[in-house]
Amino acid sequence: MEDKAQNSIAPQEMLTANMYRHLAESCPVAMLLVSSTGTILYANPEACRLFLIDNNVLEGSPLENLIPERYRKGHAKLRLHYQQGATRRAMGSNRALFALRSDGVEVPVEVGLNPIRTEHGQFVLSTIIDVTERKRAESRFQLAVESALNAMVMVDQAGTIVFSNTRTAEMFGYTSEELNGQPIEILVPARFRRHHPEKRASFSNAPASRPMGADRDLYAVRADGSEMPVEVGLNPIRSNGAVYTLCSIVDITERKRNQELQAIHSLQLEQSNRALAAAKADLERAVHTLQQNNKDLDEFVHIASHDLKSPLRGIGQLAQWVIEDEGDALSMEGRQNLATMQQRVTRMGQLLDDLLAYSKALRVHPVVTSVDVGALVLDIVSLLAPADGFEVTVGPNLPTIHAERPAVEVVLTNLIGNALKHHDRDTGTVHVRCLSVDSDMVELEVTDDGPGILQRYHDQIFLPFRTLRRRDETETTGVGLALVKKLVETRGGSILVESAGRGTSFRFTWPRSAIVAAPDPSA
Amino acid sequence: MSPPPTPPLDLHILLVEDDDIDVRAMRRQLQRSGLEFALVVAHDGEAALAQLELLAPETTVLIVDLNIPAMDGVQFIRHARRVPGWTAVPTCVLTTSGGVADRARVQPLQVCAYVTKSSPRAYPWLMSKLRAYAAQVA
Repeated sequence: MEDKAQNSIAPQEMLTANMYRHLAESCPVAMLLVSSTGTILYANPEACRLFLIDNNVLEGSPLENLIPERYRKGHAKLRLHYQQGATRRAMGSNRALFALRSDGVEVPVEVGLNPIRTEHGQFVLSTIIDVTERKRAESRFQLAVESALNAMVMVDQAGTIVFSNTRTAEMFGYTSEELNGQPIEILVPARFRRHHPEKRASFSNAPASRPMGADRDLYAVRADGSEMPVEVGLNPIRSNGAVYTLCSIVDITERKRNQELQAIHSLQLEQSNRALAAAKADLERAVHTLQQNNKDLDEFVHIASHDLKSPLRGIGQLAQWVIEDEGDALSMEGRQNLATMQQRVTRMGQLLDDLLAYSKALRVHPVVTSVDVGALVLDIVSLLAPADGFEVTVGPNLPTIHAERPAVEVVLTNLIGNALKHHDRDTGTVHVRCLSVDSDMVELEVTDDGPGILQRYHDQIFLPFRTLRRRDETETTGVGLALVKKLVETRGGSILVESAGRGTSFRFTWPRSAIVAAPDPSA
Repeated sequence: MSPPPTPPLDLHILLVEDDDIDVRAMRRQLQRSGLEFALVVAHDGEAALAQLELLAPETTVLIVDLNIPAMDGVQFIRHARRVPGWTAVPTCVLTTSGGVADRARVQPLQVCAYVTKSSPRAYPWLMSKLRAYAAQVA
């Protein structure tokens, strides 16, 4: 019965003024009851805590005391305006609100406004929520998003951009203001736009962090219509009961270009490798041809030295026999002609020998031995058998080198032989000495006291088949010094001649230790 | 040139040489030296091997030009050294070049003279060798 009786009483009737007061005081939301003149009539304990003011100070003071100075004037106006058409609503829905604490600190707040009309007049009950923590979290989030290197765009479930960072604006050529409120499709190239909302919907149905378009190339379109290849990451974010999608967009133009460049590079590398292989084949062919040419040259030299010399020797012998057998029957002129013929035969034989030696000099002799230069010079001198009155002297410290003995022998034989052959007096001296020895080379000198060589001929003397005297005057072919120079230079040394007035010095360098190439297989 | 008729003399030279002028040169040198050798000439190795059948090894000297057609001089000497009775016959070698390679090929054959035709001292020296041999045989 009693229950029934109680149930039948209207709830409003049950609430005493005291109960209202308790309700307000236990409410975890700050509440202020404000008169139409803007005076605070009641502040609940939470409001006192929020503003850090005792409620006896708070009650009776103007509401604008709780508003930061710069907003106060405006606030008073807005309050009057509100009272004229007062409805229950949130305050400042389109801007941030701040409340001023007694310690001077401004606090971000959300404010709800409830008009209360009584017979005593019109009042407004405001509920105030401190959103410092939420704002802080939001700003942390915004800071994080803002400082991200990628473009970050947050869209709501309808696909509308609610937030984008500066990088997005830079990347797409829009301002953040232009982007916010636009459908995300504004960033999607026209040809993909139609199907984008479906894809968006399917993501919303099963939201999970994932890369977008993993199996295909994605493109985004800038404000100017140009496109760029992109990578997009999708992250669902729940906030205030709504689900948003945070898209992180990376411009991969550079990466793509690098990949393309890399592809081009590897293609070029492949081409270079092919070209290299072709060049190598060419080189091998050239080497083969060269080896063949060397062989041909050897054969030619063999023919020159043997097959040409045999008939030549025959001619010389026949001339000799004519002189021996029929000399008395010949005129003086006939005998002279035969003698000249023999001379020419001899010279041609010498030329053939020199030709052989010259072509052989170009080839590196593969056998390197220890060569005592002093002993070698003595051998050469005994072979050359200088005429009476001529002497070859040898310096005190001729070195022992590691070299192709035949090559060194040809060089020294020619230099010493020339000095003896071209001497213009009845007596003379040829001196062979060592000028210097360093880690790589020795420098040797052959000096004579003969007629000397005029400066203007110093280059000419090293040319093949060039002599400075009439050929009939001396039996010389002019190959000797050319051969010497070739030998010296092909072995890595150099040669020079010095002659001022009488006497001539030939100085040449020769490696102390020959570096011998692998023996020529065709040799 | 056919081999001369049966020589009246005891000493023979078998000259293996294809160059007629060189044969004539050898003949002139022999005539001039006063040596009493009968000269038998073979123009190639085959002909020379055939001559070995007719000659007495103990009174014969071989003079072989290295540069002969078909079988060369070195090959001929190797063949000759395998013919019974001819294994130790005195042998002189003639060359045109005096080249290192030829000399190296000849060295193992242990010939008693190696003569370069173009050398002015070649024939006098060869004649002195033959003279020494003749004295030894006599």
